[in-house]
Amino acid sequence: MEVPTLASVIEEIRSRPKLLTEYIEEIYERINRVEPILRAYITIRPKEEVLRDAKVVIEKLRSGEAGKLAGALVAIKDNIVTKGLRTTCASRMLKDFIPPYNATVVERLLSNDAIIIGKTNMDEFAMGSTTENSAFYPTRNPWDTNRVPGGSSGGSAVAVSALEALASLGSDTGGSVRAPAAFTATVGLKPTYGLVSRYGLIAYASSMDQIGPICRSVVDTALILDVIAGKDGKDATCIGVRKCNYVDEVREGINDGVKAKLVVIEEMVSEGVEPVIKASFERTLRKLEANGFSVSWVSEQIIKYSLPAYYIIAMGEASSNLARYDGLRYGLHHSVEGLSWYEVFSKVRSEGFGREVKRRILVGTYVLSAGYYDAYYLRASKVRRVIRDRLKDLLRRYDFIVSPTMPVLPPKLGERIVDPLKLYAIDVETVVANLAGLPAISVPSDFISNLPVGFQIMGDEFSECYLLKVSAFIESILKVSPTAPSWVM
Amino acid sequence: MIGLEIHVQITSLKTKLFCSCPADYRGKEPNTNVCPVCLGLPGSLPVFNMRALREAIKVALALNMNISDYLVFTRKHYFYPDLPKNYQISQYDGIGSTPIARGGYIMIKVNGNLKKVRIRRINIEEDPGRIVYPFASAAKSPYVMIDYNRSGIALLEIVTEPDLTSPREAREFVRKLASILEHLGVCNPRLEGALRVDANVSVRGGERVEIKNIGSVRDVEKALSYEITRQLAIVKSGGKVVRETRHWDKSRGVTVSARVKELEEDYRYFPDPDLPVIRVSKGLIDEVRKELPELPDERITRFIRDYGLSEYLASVLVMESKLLADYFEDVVNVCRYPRLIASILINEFLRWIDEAKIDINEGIRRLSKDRLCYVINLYSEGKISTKLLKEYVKRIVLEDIDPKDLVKEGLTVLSSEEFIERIVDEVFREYRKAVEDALKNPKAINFLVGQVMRKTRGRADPKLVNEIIRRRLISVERG
Amino acid sequence: MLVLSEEELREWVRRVSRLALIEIRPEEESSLINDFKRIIEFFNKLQEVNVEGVEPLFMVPKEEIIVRNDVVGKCLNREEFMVNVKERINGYVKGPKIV
Repeated sequence: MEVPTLASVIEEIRSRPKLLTEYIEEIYERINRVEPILRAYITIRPKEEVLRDAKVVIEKLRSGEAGKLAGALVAIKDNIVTKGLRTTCASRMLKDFIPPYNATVVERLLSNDAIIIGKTNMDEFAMGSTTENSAFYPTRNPWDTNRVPGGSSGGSAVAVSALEALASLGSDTGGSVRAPAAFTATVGLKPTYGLVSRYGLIAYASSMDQIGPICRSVVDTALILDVIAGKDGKDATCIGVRKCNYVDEVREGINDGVKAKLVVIEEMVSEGVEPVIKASFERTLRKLEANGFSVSWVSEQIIKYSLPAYYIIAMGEASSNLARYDGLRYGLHHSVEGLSWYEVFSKVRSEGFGREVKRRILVGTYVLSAGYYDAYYLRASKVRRVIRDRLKDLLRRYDFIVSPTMPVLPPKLGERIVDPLKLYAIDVETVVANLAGLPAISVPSDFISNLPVGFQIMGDEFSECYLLKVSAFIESILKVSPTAPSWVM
Repeated sequence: MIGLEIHVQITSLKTKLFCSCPADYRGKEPNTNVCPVCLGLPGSLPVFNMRALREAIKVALALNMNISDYLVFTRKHYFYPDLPKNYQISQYDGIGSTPIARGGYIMIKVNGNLKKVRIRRINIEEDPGRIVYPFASAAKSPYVMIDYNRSGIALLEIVTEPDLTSPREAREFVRKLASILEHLGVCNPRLEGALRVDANVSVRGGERVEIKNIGSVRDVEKALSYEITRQLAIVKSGGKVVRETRHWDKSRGVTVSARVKELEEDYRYFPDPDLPVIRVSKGLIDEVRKELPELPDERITRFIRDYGLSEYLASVLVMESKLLADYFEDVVNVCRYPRLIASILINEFLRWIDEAKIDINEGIRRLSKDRLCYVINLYSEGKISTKLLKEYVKRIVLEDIDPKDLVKEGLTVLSSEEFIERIVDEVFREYRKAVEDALKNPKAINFLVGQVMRKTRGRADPKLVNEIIRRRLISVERG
Repeated sequence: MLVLSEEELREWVRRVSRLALIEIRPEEESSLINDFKRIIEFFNKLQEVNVEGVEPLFMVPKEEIIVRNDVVGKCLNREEFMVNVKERINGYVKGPKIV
């Protein structure tokens, strides 16, 4: 049975608007069936509300006034604020927070007539790589429900993979869009830092956070990116350099193919990478070579230091961004009368944050503190520059840097989360792109023992046009996506 | 040794520092002048108000400072109920950031002596929200009430070196600074809360005590006097001054130990990843320099030179309020008499607006340029005396009355000799003893003059009265 | 210096707990100290890198600057914001005492 893509649905609905209602019914029926097992969502909008939204869109379709995303039924990661719709970051701290405003990306989706189905589960405050750090419940991988779907945007990836939504938005600070995409056989893009507005993205590490689409195919990714990318006056870091229409590039890539020079950094395929993953990766490379790509291998020692550099910066910035949670203006509250303010704040923060979040805030406080700032945060920022310079240098000689997206197959629930360092280790391939601010995409490349494997492609900054073009072509060669587990269909 | 840390709101801006909420928050219902950014809501991001940089550069130029090549925003972390993000966006000296300006000075005049007070730095930063106590005093309130209308307002933090050596000097400094800011148009120091002073005070090389919450120029001298006295008393009795933070309690006129839990101070500064680094180009500085208005010292010099004012009159006019100095020039341009008008404004006008409890704006509305010039004309034509002139000013300011009406009331100089002679006769009859005294002692004539003035309600021309009384005395003497 | 003794670690964990206003319960303390130790060790790997003469990379834009012109925009509706405020008095947010 063919798996619908966002692109195919949008096209269908344009000629038969009434189908939108049927799609909605279908999705809600599926949600009822699979959600009790998968738990991808934290908040699901009532069907009646969604149907009401659909009526408006159908009218617009009929009068020819509909936006580019009419027909899109989208799941939004729960760290992106939605006006009037509960946004929790999967944390007790925000379990009943109702934002009074929309994130810019949400405004852009809505003004293009997308409809939001619900808010998806994630690792608390985006801190994690498996979605097991959610304060509410873990999300399960639809390909094997005893395994994790990856994180921190696990809910978004599962919603799309298990056909509970047509497309989704996640966020990526150290791999949180690409990891769950790789583990669920979906396409996940982390745009260049500054392409997509962060206004309304509840901050984790401000210098690395980016919102990115998780979809069933590359063309879907381009459709969403076309709408959400671009300058925003409310985000001073969003310089949003756009050079093309992404969907057009994708179609070109599929139709005409691309010859590109790919490079592999040895250090990204060695330490911590399971043999089956490495073998699968090499098989993929051979397929690409057979289709006109050239593949070279280089060594960049500095890559070995990307994980500690990433975590120092991420934890430092997180400790700062999460300082605001004291329960006074929003969030978990503690009655104020009689206690001093530091007592009230301490109680709220101790009860509201989960273990991993607390750990990162405490360590982050340490790396910013007087006397240690130089040795940790500042030094990590210098290593960051070296990494970025090396990568940009490579990207002058080659078109893209490729690697496996994840060093392992999707772990079983409970396997990684016991030990923070063990958890951090699975980010080894993905953090590099966040440190350097470069765009990176994960495209489904293989199945091993029925478990999804992803192929990561990293380009130069603001090269999304070329990156999506190449990814579309690679997707058409690998023929894995779009796909979905048969039991959900 | 006194060092000051002055927080000045950039009241010339229309919006807050990092969001587009209106900058005029006074008098609004609590928490209605807010947005996701100044509330620190999850997901919000700051975007810098470029005009704030121009205003900061103006101040830096006026204070003879070195302006930094780059403006780098840093986060200063501390927890407090009025700080929405529990960090404040400011600048820091170090870690790749510098204050927007460093190393300047202001000249002040105390007891006729010129003194240079060095300015260490200026930072651009955001104001926190306002904490209100339900039961008047902080100590009695089991909780507080927070209004974020003020949160995010643009502030300049101006820090001096500890060059000040007396409360008087400190007061003069703040007065001068306020005048400069007012002339620049950057801050209206008269607005409530627009200028806040913290002081660091130590005596005889002892520990430094920080005094917070000094809200006005007038309070500066009082608070510092109290604190120095307090510290000296401790030292004299053999004790040691404790290094601490104290609050100025205006109502009781004392400084009170803040007794805040000694949380370690580690602000964990790092460059704010949400805000761009802004280059402060020479071009921008030159542009702003061209726009600089006349500064107080320049204006005082010009008033002395062009209007022939004494230094005292010129200084008071300029430093008391830019509005007053502007008004002075306005009036003088129309009806001349600069020295007279300066004297009237300083000795009469200011006194009466104080008594009427109105502000300078309202005072100027009542004693408008037209009205004041009309009165000056009456004076120059001899229709009113100096004394009556003062009376006119008083009544116009207190009663908002038009001078033409005062003329109708008859408030003009009595120069009818006949009439005055009759009054003199009356006075001579009523005060025979005084007349005898005056015959013996010429100086005692003043009492008689005074009585005539009293009877004519000040309207009689004093010179004429004097003349007539002398004539009568001579004729009494004769016979 | 960067390698902390048991005692220093314990002190630091308590210190950051105070600085970050996050209470650490006694039963959590020892495992947290252990986590801290291992994570700092992991971070200390960076000391091996020669970063002499390297300028730190902060990702903020330096060429194209996004700022605001001093133009007034819309404020929030107070009720929409207050719906998240658990304790309020009239229009004020109620807060804990500070003295």
